[in-house]
Amino acid sequence: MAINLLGGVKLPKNNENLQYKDITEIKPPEVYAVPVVTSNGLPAEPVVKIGDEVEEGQLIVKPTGSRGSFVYSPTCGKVVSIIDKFTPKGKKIQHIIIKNNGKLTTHTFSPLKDKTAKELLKRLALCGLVDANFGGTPTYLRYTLSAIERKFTLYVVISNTDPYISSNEALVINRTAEVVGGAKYFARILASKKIVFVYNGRAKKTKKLLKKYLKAHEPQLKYSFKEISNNYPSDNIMLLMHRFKTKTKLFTEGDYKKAFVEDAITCYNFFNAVEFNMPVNSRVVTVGGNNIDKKGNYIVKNGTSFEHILNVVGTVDDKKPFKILNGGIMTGMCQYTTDVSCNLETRTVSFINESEFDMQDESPCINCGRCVSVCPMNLVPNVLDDYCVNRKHFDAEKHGLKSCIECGCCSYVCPSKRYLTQRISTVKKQVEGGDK
Amino acid sequence: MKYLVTPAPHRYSRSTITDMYITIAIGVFGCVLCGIINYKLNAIYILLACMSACVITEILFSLINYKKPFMDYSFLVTGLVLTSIMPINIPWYFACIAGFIAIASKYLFGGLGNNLFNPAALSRSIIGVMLAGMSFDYFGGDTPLGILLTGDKSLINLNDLVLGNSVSAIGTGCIVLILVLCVIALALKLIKWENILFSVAGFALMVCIFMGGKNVIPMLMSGSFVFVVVFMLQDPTTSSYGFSARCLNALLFGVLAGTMMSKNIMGETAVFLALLITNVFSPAWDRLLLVFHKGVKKHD
Repeated sequence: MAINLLGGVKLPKNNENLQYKDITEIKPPEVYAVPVVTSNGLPAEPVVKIGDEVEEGQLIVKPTGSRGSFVYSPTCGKVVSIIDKFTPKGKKIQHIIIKNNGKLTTHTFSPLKDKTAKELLKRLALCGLVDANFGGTPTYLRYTLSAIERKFTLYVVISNTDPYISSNEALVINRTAEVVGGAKYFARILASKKIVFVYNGRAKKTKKLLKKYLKAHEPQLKYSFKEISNNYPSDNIMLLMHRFKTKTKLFTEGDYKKAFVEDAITCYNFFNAVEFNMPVNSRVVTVGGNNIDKKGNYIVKNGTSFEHILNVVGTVDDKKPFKILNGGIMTGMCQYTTDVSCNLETRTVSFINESEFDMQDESPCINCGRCVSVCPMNLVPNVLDDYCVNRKHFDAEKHGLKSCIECGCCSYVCPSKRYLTQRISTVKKQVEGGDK
Repeated sequence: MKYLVTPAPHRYSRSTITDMYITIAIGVFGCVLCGIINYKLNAIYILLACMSACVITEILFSLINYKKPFMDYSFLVTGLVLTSIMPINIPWYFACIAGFIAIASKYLFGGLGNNLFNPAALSRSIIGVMLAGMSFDYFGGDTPLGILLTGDKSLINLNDLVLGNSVSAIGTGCIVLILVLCVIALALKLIKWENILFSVAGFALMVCIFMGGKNVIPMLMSGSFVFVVVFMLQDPTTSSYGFSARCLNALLFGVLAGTMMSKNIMGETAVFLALLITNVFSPAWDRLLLVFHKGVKKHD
């Protein structure tokens, strides 16, 4: 029986089936703009200077504190400049501009001897892997030394509920060995007895393919499958962590460090970092939307500009206005320019035209309570919206404004088409900005 | 190339308030149609009087508020619900006054979504109070509720109550039809089951206490109670939005309606007065239960 999380909405299915297409690497651009810090702003500083020659996989950014992430060069080339630029999430941060010189020299880590839990944990800390679900927080921060070898069960999410994201499924179908290998390494760190693959009802075919592979190639691996509801955002790693930890639908403040949920992309990247000693400098990104020709899942290097992606995939109609989203249809942030670059948090880039998005005027709230019933974070969006409109930020904060994950479920179901998520997220940013 | 920039989400569900109100209006029109079949021309006169008053008032208040009239179809639902709960022998000008009060009460509180009281219930209660002083028979005979409270109980025939052959308001007589519409509305998720369950439970409890268990079913089927539970208590604007708050709200309505009807306070108007009192408390339940909706703290 499928596991139900609190709230969520049923989104229409995407019939394009991009997950079955082969994953290809996007043609390398001439210039890369690599962000120095991830969107959660953990401190880091560049270790290269303007004019330095760098090689692919060479360390270019190191953390200044104990919590930052390492960043490795995505290409061989010359550091042209270090400038402040906007990220797709709208933050102005330092970017290292590297001009590609076409060479193919690659820096790799030294191979691991025994691949023990401690060795793997060290590799996890050094390889530059970050969590897209947690605003670019380094993955290793969840795997503290006290947490390893405690026999926690590892959950691996192999599907996506947003119809515009199919990277997890694509990896499981096309790169099964790497995903399973990565999951095994994570399981070794945790000394997990078995791996639980989590999928939603729409990804049953992917589950079958994975099961077939595991039967044929991994007879000794202990694994099971768990179905989650089709409701968006049931594949959100943070929600799943709480769900598996607390075993209740209505979760309380749980210790997220004790529940281990990873997605297929993280497993794939970790496998490459351990097996081939490759630093993480790319990510599988779903490039979708009806305004482009070549939809699919691509391996995109850190720092590749949206403009380059658009040139590679080709536009259908560039005369009519369209939206460029950094993210899926529910959370994607609109870009006003293509002069922004992908980073290791980018899960999907969507170029959507008028047929795919709705724009409606809002009507007064009729208190139907649909937003309350779908909120996965147990909030009351209509009351929060009321506080936001009347600028009662303190009251909004008291009623859980900061808990909002901006999933967009409340706006989606609202029959009055109220701009709930939009207003709540604006005020949330103001409040969080004020705190800092 | 031109780029559009709007905040997320970029897609919305197809359901709108206009669709909701039109669907409910179709359901209530079924009840009114049943009344027209039973009472013929009288029912048509009241329907026309109520609807025209609602439309004129809607236009008037829209113009005052610099809004386009008929932006939503809430006036349609209000007009049809009001027609359904009107006594059959009421003079046409009373129906007009009722229509005016219903729409005006909504706009005086700030328009759709801000009204504290159910417009139809408020207007029906005022009409009920106005008629209480008059000595003419505006139902055209003894209503089942009147018989149950003061007359010979053996005259009550359950089959007549179920099929709508008894004396009642225009659209509230035929219990079978209301129940069928209730099932459809539940399937379409337009109404909530907890409202029905808790209000009926509260009502049955109070009738049991004051009148004995035998009278529960006849009391449930008389005095517009079923109609109010299915169509008026479920009005999202005047009811609570949280599940627990809705349960409390419905229970309070059931208890109040049961008590007032058993004790013959205001006769046929009792159920509407009970609804008005419940409406006053519904925002309070939500505020009270807001403490349980404080979200989940995220890690730093």
